[in-house]
This record gives sequence, C-alpha cells and structure tokens, in this order.
Amino acid sequence: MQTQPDSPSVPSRARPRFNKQRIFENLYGYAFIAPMMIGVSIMTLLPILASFFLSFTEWNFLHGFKQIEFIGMRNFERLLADDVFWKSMKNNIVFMLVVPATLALSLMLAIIINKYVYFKDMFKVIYFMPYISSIIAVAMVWQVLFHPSFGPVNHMLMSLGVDNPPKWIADVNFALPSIMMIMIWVSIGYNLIIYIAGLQAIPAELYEAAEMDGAKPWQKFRSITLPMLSPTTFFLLITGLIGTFKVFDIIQVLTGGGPANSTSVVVFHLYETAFVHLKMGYASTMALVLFFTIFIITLIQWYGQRKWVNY
Amino acid sequence: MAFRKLDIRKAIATALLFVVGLTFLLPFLWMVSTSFKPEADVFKYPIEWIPKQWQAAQNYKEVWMGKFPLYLYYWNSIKVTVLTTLCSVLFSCMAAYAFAKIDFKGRDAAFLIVLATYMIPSQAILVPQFIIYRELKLFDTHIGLVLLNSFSVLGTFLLRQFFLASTRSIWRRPKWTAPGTSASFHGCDPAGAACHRHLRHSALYLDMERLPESAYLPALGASADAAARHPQVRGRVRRILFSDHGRLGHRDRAAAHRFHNRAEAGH
Repeated sequence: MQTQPDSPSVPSRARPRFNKQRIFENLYGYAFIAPMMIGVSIMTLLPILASFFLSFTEWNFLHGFKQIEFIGMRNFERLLADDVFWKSMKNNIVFMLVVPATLALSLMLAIIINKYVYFKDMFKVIYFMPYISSIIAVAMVWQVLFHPSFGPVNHMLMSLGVDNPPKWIADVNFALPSIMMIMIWVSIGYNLIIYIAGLQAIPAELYEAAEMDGAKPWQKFRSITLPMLSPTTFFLLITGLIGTFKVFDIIQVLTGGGPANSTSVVVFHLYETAFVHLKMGYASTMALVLFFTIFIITLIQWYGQRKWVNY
Repeated sequence: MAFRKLDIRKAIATALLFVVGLTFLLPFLWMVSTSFKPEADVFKYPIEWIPKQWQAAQNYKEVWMGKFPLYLYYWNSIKVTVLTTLCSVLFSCMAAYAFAKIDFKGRDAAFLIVLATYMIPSQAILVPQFIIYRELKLFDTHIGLVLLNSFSVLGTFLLRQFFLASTRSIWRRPKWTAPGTSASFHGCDPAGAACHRHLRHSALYLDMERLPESAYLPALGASADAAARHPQVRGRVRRILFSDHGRLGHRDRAAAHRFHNRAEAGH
C-alpha cells in the first residue's frame, strides 16, 4: 500500500525522527479522522454488524426482537440453491461493464466541454440534469424512447433497414443492455463534473512544456492528461463499481426485475425478500455475500492502483 | 485568421454538444410538462408533451397553498441541506486531509474501513439503522436527518484523491522543506501543530475551487435520497420536500410505512 505518495523511495518508518514527533503525528491523524470514524461507526458500521448477525437467524421484523430465531448456516445453504440470487449476481457482474463505458464517455465529453466549446457552464448543467431528475421521469422518458413499435429508437432502426428491431426493455435478451445504456446515460453527468474538476487542476505549464518539445495532441493526452487524472479515475472506478452493485431504483421502477428475472439484481432480490416476503435473516445473508463480493473487488483495485495511479 | 478558424470549429462543437444534450433534458422537460397536467393524464401513452388538458393553475395553487404547503417543505429541505453540507464538508475535509497527508499508524486500514461502509446497500441495513435511530432518540427529528448524511464516504474519498494529486508540487515549496531534503518532504514534516496550518493555508486554499464538488454530493444526498429512502422521515409537517414523490416506487414506501406503523405500535 502506498504510505507516502510524495516520496515513494523513502520508507516512512525508516525515517529518523524523535519518538515524540512520531506520537504527535499519530495523535493528529486520529484527531482528524475521529469525527468521520465515530459518525460512520454509529450510522453504518453498527447496522452492518447487526446485519451480519441477522444473517444467521430467521426473523420477521414485524414481530419484534423476541421472534429472532438462530438457525446457524441454514440461510447460506438456502442461498446456494437460490437460482434467482445467482442469476441476479450474474447480472450484477455484467453491470460492471457500465463503469468503464461511462468513464470513457465522460472523459471524452469532459475534455471537449472543458476546452472546445462555448457556454461551458451551461453544458455542465445540461448533462447533469438526468442525475438529479426524478427516477420516475427518467423511466418514463426511456420507456417512450425504447417503445417497440412507436419509439423513436426503433423508428430510426427500421428506417435504416433493420426489419426486426429488438423490443428493448420488454425483450429477455435486450432488457439488461437497455438498462445498462440508461445507467450510463444517467451517470455521465456526475462523472463529467468530477473529471472537469480534475482537468482544471492540471497545471498549464505541463502542456506548454510538452508543446515546446513538439508533442502532438494525442501524446499530450497519453502522457499528461491520463496520468494526471489517474487519481480521479481511480475514485470514479472504485465508487462506480460499488455503485453498480447497489443499483436498485431504476430496476424497481422500470422492469421490476423482469422479464423472466433477466434484469434482477442482488439488491432488488434482497429488497423483495426483506420487505415483501419479510425474511430479514435471509436478506441479511444476501447482503453479507454481496458485501464480501464488493469488498474483494475493491481490494483488488486497491492493490492494483500502484500499477497505474499516479500520485 | 487562425483565431477565426478556431472559432468556427468551436461553434460547431458547441452546436453538436447541444443537440446531444437535448436528450439529457428530456426527463426534466417531462417533469415540467407533467406539472401542468391533471393526474389522470400523467402516464398516458404517447406522452403529451404539451398537455391537451391544462391544470397548471390548480396544481401549483395546491402545491403552494393547499393542505400541505410546499414552502414549509422547502424551508425544511433548505435547513437540512445547508446543515448537512456544512457538517459533511468539515468532516470530510478533516478526514481526507489525514488520509492523504498525515502519516499515522493504521491509516490505510482506517480508510478501508470507511470505504467498506459504502459497500453495503442501504436496503440491507435499513431495519438495524432504524432501531439505532429510535434508541438514540434521533428518529423523526431534523438533527437525525442531518446526521444521517453528515459522514460522506464519497466526499472523503474524493477530497483525499484531490489532496493526493493536486498539491504535490506546491506542498514541496522550499520554505516548508528542510534544507537539502526536498524529496523527503511529505505531508506535515514538522509534526504536530503544523498539520492544521497546512490544512488551512495550503490544502484548503488550493482545493477551494474543488470543494463545491464534494459539497454537492451530500447536499444532493440530503435532499433527495435520505428523505425518500428512510422511514425515519415521517410526520406531515416535518416531512421533507422529496419524500412525497421520492425516488422509490410506491411499494417501497408502503413497506416502510407498514414497518414503521408496526414498530411504533410495538413500542
């Protein structure tokens, strides 16, 4: 793990320094993170631990605490045989593709908006709109755009000579890609804003120096923009991937997991289990498995950052 | 000449981006158009972008002056959002600074713990969270709503990345660097008191223009997500703007209400 970004060649523990200084620095670190740690512990960590405990029980939460029944590993056995869960997990894995696509598109748009257009601020607002619009409105609009026989998307495809255009959201094979497209479309605005902030932090001298050396635009992009943006990309990649595993409301509103579970995701299945079928224990088991899946994926990226993130 | 040529290209790019951007405005336009319609026409297909039946005056009158006047909801939203944003920016800044620039024991582990709390879907911890809230007497209060979003993992992570990335050249300015050891400078070399001076003078100053980015994350969260997602939000007067037509379907709200009514009855 990178301990000190500024001077990777000098290991921090080997630095000669007074013991007292060392202690002070530790204390300062703890004092600075204390509010965050305390808040996060009470608001989220404690409920997570409770949820871990619940995953070994059977509990209908409407009946109160006394009804909690400890059933050991039975929930996990049930999970292994739960086809809908594994189908949902598979869908979640496919959903991960949304993130690189969003990153590439947003970066492209961010560069264009940052430098090559007028009314920069207006474009920031326009592309951010879907992200802050009600999910109901987003769902309505895309239902219309994707309508099998009247929608503009299929009209265009048919006029281009496609005889049997897909039924999109209503089609078992196309529902998942359709939702993924909508997710990309919704999250472009957010990624774009973060990328523009990152672009503006790159010192202009770097580009000037590169120009003096006769660098072409593509070379400047490869050797300056990309590496300088890598901490931002790392942030968007990690949080984006976690976000795809937590996707819920668009599924709930647009497809309800259908057709034939083709768009079911883990959180949707978990939600139905907990709040429709009222099986809190089993839902917590799903949460536990989901949590460790996300954790491992994040950990891989965390250790992988040394290879490509430039601090 | 070169200047004019550049101009034309820029104008074309602007026009192109604007055309693409129009599709991004559609949901917003749908909301505007819907606000002028009678309830029955809302989900008609195809969408009546320009309503056949207008009910604008009545809709807006009811929203602003009806039984549940919106200005009260608005005021509550503003109050909660402003407080949440202030708290969240402060806590995120402090933590992000420590994670990026102070070299303390267990730093990476602590950061991973914070990040891990972002990995659990909110639906999975709703019930335990609700119970904790009730025990802490935070349920159905403004302060509870503020606290719920005051500890932004996203904001902390984002600022940490910015601190790590952007300040590297300026942080190595000679006056902060021990003679002859410019490479060894990192974070707060003169340990102790200097830390917060660094944070105040350099990090925050440098990242001032980026603070809004970390500020609107919790602001958005405070106004939209929390209110819609959490059954803690209840009570007619205290209800926050978005909870009524929130981001979730009716089934979710029905379940939350069912849960909440039972929970209340149980106590």
